[in-house]
Amino acid sequence: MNACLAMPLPMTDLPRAEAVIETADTELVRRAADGDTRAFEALYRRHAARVHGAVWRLAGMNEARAQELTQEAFVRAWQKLGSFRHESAFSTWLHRLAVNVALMDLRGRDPEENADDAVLEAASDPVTPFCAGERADLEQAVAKLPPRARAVLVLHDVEGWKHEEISRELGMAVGSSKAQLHRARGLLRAMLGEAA
Amino acid sequence: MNELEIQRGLRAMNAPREPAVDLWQGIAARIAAETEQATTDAAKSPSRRRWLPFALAAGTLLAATGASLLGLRIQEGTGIAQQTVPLQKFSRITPAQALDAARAPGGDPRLAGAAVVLDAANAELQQALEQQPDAVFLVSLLNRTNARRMKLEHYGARAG
Repeated sequence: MNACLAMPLPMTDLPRAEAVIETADTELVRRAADGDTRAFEALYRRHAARVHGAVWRLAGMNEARAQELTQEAFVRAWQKLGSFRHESAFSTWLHRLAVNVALMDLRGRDPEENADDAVLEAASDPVTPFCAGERADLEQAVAKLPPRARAVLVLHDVEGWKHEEISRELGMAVGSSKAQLHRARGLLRAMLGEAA
Repeated sequence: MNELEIQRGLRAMNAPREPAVDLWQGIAARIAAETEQATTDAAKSPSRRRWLPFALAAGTLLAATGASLLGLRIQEGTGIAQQTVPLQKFSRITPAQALDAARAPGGDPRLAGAAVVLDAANAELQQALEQQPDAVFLVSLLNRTNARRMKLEHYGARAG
């Protein structure tokens, strides 16, 4: 196993930190829902990185597209703040909204857009992994996947969604979601140089 | 990279990522534009409310005309010809208009009043639509008025 990926992640007191963040969010959300744009800017500053990370991955690591989607997600959040009932954490609600914005964008595109020969070519020409660039290689490989296969892979393997949720949001059968995941993993293995 | 390493790598990808540029200015501009649009819409709403009485009046006219036609059909069945709705109560219709037999579908004087009522409603709705072209409910009322007018012509043709 590669030592670079096997390194343990730094441990933090996540539950307590999240509780503190959520308490601060509640007040900011209340003020923003009353029309306070400064409070909403504070929410943007606190959550932009997480939202942008999610839509960036779904947009195939396309920074320009991800910026548009992030902006769209925050504008939608502003519009819908009045309907936020605090039944979940604001961060969860916002993250879900942002993912839905990215998926709506995906649904509006040709299902097989970018699923061209470049993907197959990349799969037949595996990159040589090395520790310093391994993560970049993985991101590059994910970015080369066909959009729908990439969306299913990101939602399942990165975001931790279930196939039922993915199929509902992407408007496909559960079996299709599983098939897309299988396809995406196979393409990744081929591109990264080892058929498991 | 094997399957396990790929899976670990994918999980590690679930990390925040700052946008390359600050997006807040663009977001703030769009929010400001939406707020301004909402204010404009709110300012427009009184003019819509101004037309509401006319629309309601047109609806009332339609209902009254429908009742009149229904009454007429019942009377036709019983052979009794009498006017059950006093058309003069509608302020936009003069007695002369109501008695204008030339406007009566099929030349049937019993239908003249209903025709005048519907024509007046049609004119009023069209005027309202010129002021509020995006008012769907006015279009709906206009369609219903026209449908009633056509039905009236049909009755006139059958009576004639």
